Amino acid sequence: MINDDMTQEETYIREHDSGRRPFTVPEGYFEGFTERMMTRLKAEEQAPVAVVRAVRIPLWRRAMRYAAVGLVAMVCVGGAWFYTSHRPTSDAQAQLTAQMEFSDFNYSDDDLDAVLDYELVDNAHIAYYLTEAY
Amino acid sequence: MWNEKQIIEQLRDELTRERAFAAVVEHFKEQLYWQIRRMVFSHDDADDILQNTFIKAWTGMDGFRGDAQLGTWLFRIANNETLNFLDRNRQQMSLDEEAAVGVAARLESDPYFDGDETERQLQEAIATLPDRQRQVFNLKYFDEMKYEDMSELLGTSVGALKASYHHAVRKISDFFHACD
Repeated sequence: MINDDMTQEETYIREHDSGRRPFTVPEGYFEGFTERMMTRLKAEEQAPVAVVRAVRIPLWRRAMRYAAVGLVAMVCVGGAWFYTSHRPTSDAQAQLTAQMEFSDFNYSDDDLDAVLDYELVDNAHIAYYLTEAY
Repeated sequence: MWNEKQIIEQLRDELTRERAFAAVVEHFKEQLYWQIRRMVFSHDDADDILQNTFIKAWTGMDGFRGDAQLGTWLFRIANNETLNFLDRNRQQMSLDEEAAVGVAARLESDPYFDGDETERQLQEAIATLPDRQRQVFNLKYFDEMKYEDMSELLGTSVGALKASYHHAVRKISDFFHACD
């Protein structure tokens, strides 16, 4: 029975637990916290904001920028046209692509354990825990 | 006397906002601090995260719609800050020489930990759990929180929480069996 097992294991853990909170804080930490916090919030609100001055860009430099953007756009369009018009369509190429996609899913058991732990699901007894736990 | 409805109204008013937020900090600081501290162990880290939590709450106050309780909203901010901190810390620790030092050894030299060896071992056992599982364990084992309340707090189903807690208890139990 999952509940009996849980009680036994929890009891076992509590035998190793003094029940005392062993963490401490510096003296006066909580007493002064609110004041420190509000002081910090006010300081952050009043922090000077950097002023950026507008700089006038010469006409020739603006023209150069537009030309650079146009050149990049032409390269992209040309590259896309070249790719679509020269894309291989043979069966051999399709098989190679399928193999590459399949190899992307070869995760190790360690990877899967990490993912399932992260998602809060027990990988060994999913159905048992979710049904018995209710 | 804590009156959440009144506090929320005051938070929405520019004239009373600051005083109301100070009341919020005063009311929730210890509860949030201990939730964070149990996850990160170090007082200095917990202090940083707690302050960041309240800063985020202050700057994001307009985003609080009131459909959840104030405490739940603050806990979620604190939770996210804590998990982000642990992720960043883990990446840093992988490059740090201190990564080889266990939690128990670090707690032994921590001036704000006065537990004995058994208590250090328990913390080391808890530290072996993945972050979210550790959080579930802390809330259930130490705070004896109901799964339904935990579900609302963490946004996870009750079934997943029960499975997670069971898994965490099993792991910690195995840890102590290995030590005995």
